[in-house]
Amino acid sequence: MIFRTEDIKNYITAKSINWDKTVEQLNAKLFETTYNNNMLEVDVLPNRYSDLSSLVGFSRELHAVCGCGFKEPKIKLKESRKLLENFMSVSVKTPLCKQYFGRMVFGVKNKQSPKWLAEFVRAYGFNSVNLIVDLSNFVMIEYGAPLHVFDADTIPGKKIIVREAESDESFRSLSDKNILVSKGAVVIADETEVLALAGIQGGWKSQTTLKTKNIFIEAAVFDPTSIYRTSRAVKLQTDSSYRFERKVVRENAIFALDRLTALIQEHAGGEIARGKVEHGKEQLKKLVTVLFEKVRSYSGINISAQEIENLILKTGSTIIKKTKIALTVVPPAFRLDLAIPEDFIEEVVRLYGLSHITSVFSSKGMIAREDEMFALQDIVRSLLVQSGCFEFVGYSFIADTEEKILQKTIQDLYGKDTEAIYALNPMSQLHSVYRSLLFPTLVKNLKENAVLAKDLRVCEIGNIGVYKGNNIIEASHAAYAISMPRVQDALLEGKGLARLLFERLGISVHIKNSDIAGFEIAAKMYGEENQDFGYIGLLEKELSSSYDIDQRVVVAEFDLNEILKVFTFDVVFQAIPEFPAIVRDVSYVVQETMPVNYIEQELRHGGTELLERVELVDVYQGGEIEKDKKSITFRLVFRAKDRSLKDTEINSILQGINKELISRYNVVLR
Amino acid sequence: MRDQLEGILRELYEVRDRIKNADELETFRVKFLGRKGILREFAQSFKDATEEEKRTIGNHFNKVKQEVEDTLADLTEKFKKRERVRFDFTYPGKTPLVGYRHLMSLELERVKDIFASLGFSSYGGYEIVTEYENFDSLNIPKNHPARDMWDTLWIDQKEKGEDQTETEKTKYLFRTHTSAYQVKLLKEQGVPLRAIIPGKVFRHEATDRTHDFEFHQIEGLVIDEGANIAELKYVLESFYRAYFGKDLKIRLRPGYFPFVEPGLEVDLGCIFCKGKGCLTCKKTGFIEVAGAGMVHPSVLQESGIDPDSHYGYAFGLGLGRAVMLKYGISDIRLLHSADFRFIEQFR
Ligand SMILES: [Zn+2]
Repeated sequence: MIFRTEDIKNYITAKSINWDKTVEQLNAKLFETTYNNNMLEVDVLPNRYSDLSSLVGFSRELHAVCGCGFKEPKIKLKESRKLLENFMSVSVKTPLCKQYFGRMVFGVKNKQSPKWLAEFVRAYGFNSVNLIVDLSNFVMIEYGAPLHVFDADTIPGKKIIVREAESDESFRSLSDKNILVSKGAVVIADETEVLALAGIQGGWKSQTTLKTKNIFIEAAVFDPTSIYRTSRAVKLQTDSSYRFERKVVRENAIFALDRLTALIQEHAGGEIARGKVEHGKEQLKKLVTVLFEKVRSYSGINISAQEIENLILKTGSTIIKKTKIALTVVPPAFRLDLAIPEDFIEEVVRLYGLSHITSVFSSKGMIAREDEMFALQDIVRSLLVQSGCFEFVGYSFIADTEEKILQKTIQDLYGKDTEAIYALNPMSQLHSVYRSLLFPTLVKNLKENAVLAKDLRVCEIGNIGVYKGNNIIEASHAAYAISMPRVQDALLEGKGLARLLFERLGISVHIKNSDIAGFEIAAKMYGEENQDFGYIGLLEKELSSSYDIDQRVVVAEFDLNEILKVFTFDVVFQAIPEFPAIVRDVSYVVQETMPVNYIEQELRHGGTELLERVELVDVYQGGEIEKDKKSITFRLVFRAKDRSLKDTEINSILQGINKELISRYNVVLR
Repeated sequence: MRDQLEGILRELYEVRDRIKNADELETFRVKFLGRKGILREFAQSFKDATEEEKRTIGNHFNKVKQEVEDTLADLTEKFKKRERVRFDFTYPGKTPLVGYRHLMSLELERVKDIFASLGFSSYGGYEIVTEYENFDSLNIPKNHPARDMWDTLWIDQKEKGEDQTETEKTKYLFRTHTSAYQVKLLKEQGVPLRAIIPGKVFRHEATDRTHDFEFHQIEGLVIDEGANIAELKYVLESFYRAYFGKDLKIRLRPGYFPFVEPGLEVDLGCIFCKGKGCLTCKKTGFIEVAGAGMVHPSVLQESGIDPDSHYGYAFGLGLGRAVMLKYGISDIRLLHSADFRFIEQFR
């Protein structure tokens, strides 16, 4: 809200004001305020709009903050003998119109506004239309209550009806547009048609022109929610609707009506009808009990009861009861925001001065804990970064074109009933779909760095989300992407990192080859109870090329929500073994296509509890090894907890294993 | 002559221990075994001796000669071993494979650590929340102008079936503030509670150098004895002092957020000009950094906590803003940068 300081002067008693100092006070005790070229700009927030967005209301607050004296306009109204009810009747047919007031003036001489008035309305953002319209805007700025003036002669039947719109009603607005009024919107109508969209905009037909002679002036209070909804439905936001949405004070409407009537008579002449239209009851004022101790404990200010009382009086409130522990307060009519004790605490604290609050730590101490998911993320992040990954924190949104490519991929990964989550009102197509996977952002980012290095590892930890059926699923994921000149290297590193990760987390997984759209080869990683922990795979060349990357890319992604379910933070220490180990390397020649973990499982199974560790140390092809075969070498570490092992024991274990391997897989010993 | 040989031996022992390198060893060799060396000269001198003398002295001479040769061999071996490994330490060396954490994840950890030192636990929460969590539960009803304070990024929802009307449907959105987790967290954890909720938030806002549609926020929520405005001030002051490593001041101003009462705006004394006024603080000496206030009784009620016996404060601060100030980054969109050259600068 912008005020001219020359206008404020009319509502305060102080002869002069140091605006720079005052602005400082307003900033500290009211809202953000700036002062420039004799204009005061106050950032009036929704809760105080109803009382502060007017010259009268703002000046009153100015007095509370700086004690500059406040004076209200004097309203001089001369009514004639003509009774209003003989010329106009109003019937209010909707509870969405809380209050309705009206006055009439006969025989006005409308004209162009005088210079001071035209300048005034322009300074507050309106066009100067004519005297009557400009005066009603003047009074709206003065009291904060929107007013509307109808040309009374354009209302047939001399009857105004305030009602809710039926479906498919339309009216011609002041700005000469045909507006389709939504059902349930409050309208001001005569017996045949809609005259105005209540609280939002007047109509073409009943507007005041230079020819207007008899007028009906409306002041009202409409339901804020209804105005909010209607103004958005018809896409019409006016100064008036903005005010009604933020509540209009009944008393301001009453004063504004009389003030405008008097001003019209003063500047345009005419006779004021006797009496006025009055609909809607005064709302009962709520009593609020303010406990002194609560003010102190809330604020941390050691403030006396007397001081609290003085500050509350500054708000214009009435104190109707005072005890040793509390005040019973009635807020002033113009302060619709003061309804609960905390509201009064706010008033006391700000008028006392927030700058007087000294910081104190009164906590008795609480032990800080970390969310388990954060803790798991930290472990995973450290491991990935230690393993050479650059960490990214990417945007949570990707382009819809990217999402289309991934549609089949997410269905292969999460199930056929999976769909991506789209933003209803995205800022741009580039960021219109919530991520369903982390890897696309990673791969995109690889490309950015491809000129800098050939050996690239990147990782990210972030949330993803999808629709699974009708349910929204959001989960924390960790992912990495590795790109190296040789595909086999990238695959080996990628797999090694996944194995290391699960080893460090102490979680056993099994790997299952899977067909996943977008991947040339891929495998999924499952927990002991078949929990879906994630996947690893080599992106199809076409897909990585679509991100402009020449090198092949291996990605792996982990569902941290699933992993957290089985992860234990406690570490069980195991004593360093006392007795020496026997280490044996065993080599077998097998079919090239045979997965190495077949042999590994057999070794673990046959190795008994004495087998401490199995490690694949070499895979060899070529040379003396037949084509289509490979030689694999495992290192086996045997150890007993209670004694030194004998070679003969191990020999017989190995003999058993070899026999089994030969008969099951037809391996050849080397 | 026997004495002469004893003298040679003595000299040998004396010289032997003083040899420090291969060059000195060569001087030693020349001195004892050279063509004009001590031993050769001695041999010349007893050429004219009697047979008897030749036999006894010769024997003795051979032992001394052997001793000299052994010493030479030992020392030669010794100095051969001490030849140093050659390396040019001005070579760059081979860089080990290391990764780097992203700036935002580093700073987030710092923030969590600072708040932990003040007794704050950290909680995550979801990025996709219901309209109720983001608005209604926080005293921001439907069709209220206060909602316009947040430009909301809504979810394009799948239809749930024909029979459900628009109003019955649970509406989902991308959280506009981390406050969306307040009521749920209070329900989950109960009181007393001293928590921060760090995370991403989303706005339907055009982006420029200082605005991004997606950014990091840190929510603070404390319901505890003595959790009042004075403590809120202490906590924020301590946080910013620790984060920037400077003796900074906090200024509180009246503000309005529907889920707090009183509502407060939090300004930080400008970290560049110490309040004198500069370009960053627009000559005011202060920078707006957070919104805060005392938790509104209706929020406590919504969380199943009796507002007559409990109170506390909440705050929401922008992490991106703090990070930009700390490192002098002028474009907020850089905080999402994936450029290695950006990432590797921070530690
Ligand atoms: Zn500054």
